[in-house]
Order: sequence, then C-alpha cells, then structure tokens
Amino acid sequence: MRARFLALSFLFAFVAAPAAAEVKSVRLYAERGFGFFVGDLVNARLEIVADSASRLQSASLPRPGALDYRLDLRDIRVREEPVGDGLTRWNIDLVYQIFYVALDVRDLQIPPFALRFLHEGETETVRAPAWAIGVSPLREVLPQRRDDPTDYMRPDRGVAPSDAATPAIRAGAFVALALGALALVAHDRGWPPFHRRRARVFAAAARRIAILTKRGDEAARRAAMLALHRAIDDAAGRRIFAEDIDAFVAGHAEFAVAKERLIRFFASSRALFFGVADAGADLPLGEILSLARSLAAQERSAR
Amino acid sequence: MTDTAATDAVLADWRAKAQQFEMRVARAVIGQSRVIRLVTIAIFARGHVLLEGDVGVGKTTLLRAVARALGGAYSRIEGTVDLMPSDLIYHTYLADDGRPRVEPGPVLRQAENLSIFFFNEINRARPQVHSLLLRLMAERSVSAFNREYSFPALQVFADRNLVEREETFELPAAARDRFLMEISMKTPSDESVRRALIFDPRYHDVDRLLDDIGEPAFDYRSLASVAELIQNRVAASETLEAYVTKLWEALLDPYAAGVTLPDVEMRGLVRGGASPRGLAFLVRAARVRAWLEGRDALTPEDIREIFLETMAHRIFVDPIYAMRGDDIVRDLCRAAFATVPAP
Repeated sequence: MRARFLALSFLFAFVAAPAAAEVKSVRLYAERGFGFFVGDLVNARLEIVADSASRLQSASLPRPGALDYRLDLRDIRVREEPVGDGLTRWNIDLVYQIFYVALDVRDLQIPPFALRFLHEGETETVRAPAWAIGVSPLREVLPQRRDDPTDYMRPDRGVAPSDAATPAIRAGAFVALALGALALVAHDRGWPPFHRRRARVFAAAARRIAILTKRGDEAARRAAMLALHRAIDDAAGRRIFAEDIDAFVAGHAEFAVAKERLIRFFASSRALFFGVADAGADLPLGEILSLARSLAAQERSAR
Repeated sequence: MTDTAATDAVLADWRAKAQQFEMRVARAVIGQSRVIRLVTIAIFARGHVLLEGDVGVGKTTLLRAVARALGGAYSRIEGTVDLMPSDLIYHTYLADDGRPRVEPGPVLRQAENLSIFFFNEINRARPQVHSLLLRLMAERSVSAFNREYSFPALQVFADRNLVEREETFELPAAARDRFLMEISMKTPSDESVRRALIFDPRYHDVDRLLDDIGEPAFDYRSLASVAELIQNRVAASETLEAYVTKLWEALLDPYAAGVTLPDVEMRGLVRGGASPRGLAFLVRAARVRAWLEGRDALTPEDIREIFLETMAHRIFVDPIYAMRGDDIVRDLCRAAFATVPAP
C-alpha cells in the first residue's frame, strides 16, 4: 500500500531535521504539487518515524474543519506500524479541499502544524513541514460576450432515467409475504376461512347407532353405548361420568331438556360396564338411538 | 346369598357410623368437607395420611379432631432437626435418685392400643427418623427392648408445611410411597365459613372445640375387619380394570398414551413412582369411596375422586421440571383422565 502510494506520488518530501533523538524523521508525501482547481481534494501523507516508546498525543492533531477562507481539512487518519529496530512509524493521512477561486496560476500555502509526542514524561514537539501547491483558474477571467446571460452557465446535467421495475417487484414480493403471514395467523387463530364448523358429534353418533340398531344384538347395544359416551365426551371437551351430568348440562344448556334421559343412560351404562346394580336401568337400543337423535337435534338447533 | 345379605347389612350399618364420624369431625373443622371425606376414606382403607398445606389452615386441628372421633390411644411427636429415631421409641431421663432410666417413648407408651400416631411437621425430622417410620408404617411393628411391638390398629398421620425450606428434609420416595394419601389442605373458599373462622370465638379455642366432638362413633379395633369386608365386597368390573390399567399406562409413558401437556416434553417425563403398590392403594381407597357412596361396584368416578391424593405424591418427574413443583404431576394426572376414555 505504501509502495503504491509512493509510486504514484510525486515525491514531495521534505525532510525536516529531527528535533531530538527520539523522533528520527518526518517526511511528507503528496500526489503532485500543481494542477489543482477549486473544489479539488488534495491527499497528503505525513510519515513520522520515532522511538516505539513515544506516544503521539492525539489532542495535538489538527481537527477537520476550515483552516482559512480558501482551504478546509476534510479528513485526518492516523495509523501506527512498527518498522523494527525499536522504531514505530506514524502514517498520518490528510485530505484537504481547495476553495480558492484562482484568477491566475499561483501557489497556495498549506499551513504547517505541530504534533506533540510524549516520551518518558517529556513532551517533544514535531513540526509538520509547510508546503505549497500550484492552483490554476478553471476559465479565463473575461469570458466571451454572450447575448443571453444564461449562456454563461453550463447546462444542467440530465436526469438519469431511474429503474421503476425493481421497487415494484420488491413491493409485490413483500405484499405476497405479508398475505402469506396473514394466512398463517388466520389458520392459527381459526379466523375465516379457516374456522372449521364444530363437528356435529351427536349427529355422527346417531348415524352410527342407527346402523348398530339394525344388528340389534347385545354387542351392538354395547357399541352403541360406547358411541354415545364418546359423543358426550367430545361435546363436553372432557370425559363425562355419571356424576358429571349436572355440570355437563350446566355447561351446555341446549341439552338440559334431555337431562332425565341422560341420567337413565348413564345409570344403564354403569349397570352394563361396571356392574352397579340398578333395577330398571336396562336401556334398550331403540331408546339409545332416540336419545342420540334428540341430542343431535338439540345440537343442530343450538347453532 | 344370606351371607351377602348379612355382609351388606353390616356394611350399611358401618356406613352410617362412618357418616356419623364425618359429621362429628365436621363440627370441629368447618369448610373442609372434601378433606374430611378423604381422611375417612383413608381410615377405612387402613392407610396412612400425609397432610400438607399452609401454616394455620387447621391441619393439626383436623388430625386432633379425627383422633378424638376415632377413639383409641393417641400419641404425637413434633418433628425437629435433632430428633433421632430412638427418641420415638425410648424415653431416657435421669430419675429422682440420680440414675439414668430408659422407658418406652411416644410410640411404645400406649403399646398395642395405639390407634393414631401423629407426626407433626414430619419434614423437619431427619431421614433416619423417616426410615424408622417406613417399618412402622409398612409392617405396623417395631423392635425395642429386645422384642417386637406390633400395633394392629395403628395409623400414621403426618403433616408437613411447605412454606419453609431451611432445616427441612424432603421425605424419601420410599417413605412417601407408603402413605396412602397426601391430602392438600387449603383455606376454605366459602365466605361465611371464612367469617366464622375469623370472628366466631368457638373456633379460637381448639381444646373446647374438640370437646364438642363427643364420644367415638365406633370401636377403632373393628376397623381392620370392616376394611377387609369392604375390600372383599366392592367389586371391580372387567371394564373398570381395563380402565385403571390404561390410566396406569398413561402415567408410566404419557408420550405413548398420547397425553400432552403444554410446554412439557412428554418423552421421558415420568422418572418413577406410579408403583404397583401405588395402584393397589388407589383401588383400595376407591373401593372405600364406592362403599361410602352406597355402591357395591367401582365406577370411574371413585377412581377420579381420590386419584390425585393417592397418586400424585408417588410420581417423580424429570428433575428439569423440579422448579414447577407438584403442579406438573397434578396436571399430568388430569391430562391422563382427559385422555383415557371410560367406559
């Protein structure tokens, strides 16, 4: 990097006599010494080689800003690198900008500045060399006379045609993404059109029990009871036992009309499945079917 | 046939006595009808009871009331950090003549008449004491003074408060498994009961309150035979046996049984517990409940009614959920009930 900078640079080096033993050399490199116009940036590099024990006081570096009415310091960067033999090189990259509207070719002085190094408690001041660059006017002092004063101005730069397609494609993609996300949320929350109608559990049970009724044997009666049990469980969202009928009816008011028959059904189920003796609790298949159908009708009318 | 009829008559008679017992306890302990019912079930199932709950909800009052209503000899001990197993069995002291004496301690003092041994704040006692209790609870006997002491009518009631953690010892799994039930006692939620507990002076003096209970409703020495009668008489149908087995499977491997809990990885959740002894206790207690309800056959309601109290304290889950306390086990039991169909 340094080699390239040097290769490009017009060696504009000033070697200042080192002020003390700790600072070995101060060199300034610049791109060129002439051919600058108003508004140009001037790059320069100050290289200071000094004892590695020295510390550059960053407060002594010039601050970016206006140096005078014709020159600004735009940027300053410091980089340290060891160069061996207990020495360190400070590379200070400086960027100036010229605001001087020259009417003829002349030299512009770049003001010098001082840097302070701290070495074993001693402060040492190093002066960056003053140097000058040649600035030139952009045009002649007295231009040719024009009739229209606007002709003295150069025409505006044309408007670059902008790309309208890419933002449109991006907007489309994001709209699609947003709709997709909305669909996911709707599916998760069960919003329309993803809200599924609650299954009519008693209607399905009644259909199944109707088929079992045609078979008519004891196994069919058992299966029919199980089918109705599962339908009641599904409707309640939990397992309903005989002792839960009151709670079930309280939570599903539509089935209150069938409460007496539900009690009989559960009594019959207890007798069949758990051997709880209860006279007259032998519910025939036909009654199970009619109970299932009436529950299905309640379920339909409740919605 | 006449045999069965005679048995039923005896059981009906005892059912009335059990209700009388519940009523008497309820005179002293108000707003805790479910807890009283569970304690009654434990008494007729001949199981030991662990009570847990907040400070001052009436655990000790309940147990003293139960002891009074049950009759028989009653002994109690307070769990402390420096309590040693020998302190339960022997009482050592210096007599008036200056010579050391060893006499029977709280457990042995009442000899075979001991019907209730009440261990207050059991989690303050050391594990050595817990292991002595293992034998006392499982075999109802101890060895002391070079001979065996047996306590045929003994029931251990213990309570633990879960507020403090310092200087307490967690009950080992084996000791917890020997308790039939762990009953959680909460502050009554009914407002009139709360008002009475706060403002009625009757409930401020426990000794006078216990005097209201009166004479025991039955002879505690007959309990063992009645308990056996109940266990033999209340039948379990094949469907119910299948149901309980499925519930057990759901607890042993909830993942395979399709039991799910929110925010819990079900695979490998249950690490232990749910022992065959636990299930046997469960059915024992459920039979008593069916009998109290006037039935001679088990139904799923009986299982559900006592399930949390008889099973939750035996189940141990993955330590990663230790910080969530007992809630996760209770949720697991509820989820198992929601998943396994009955009949």
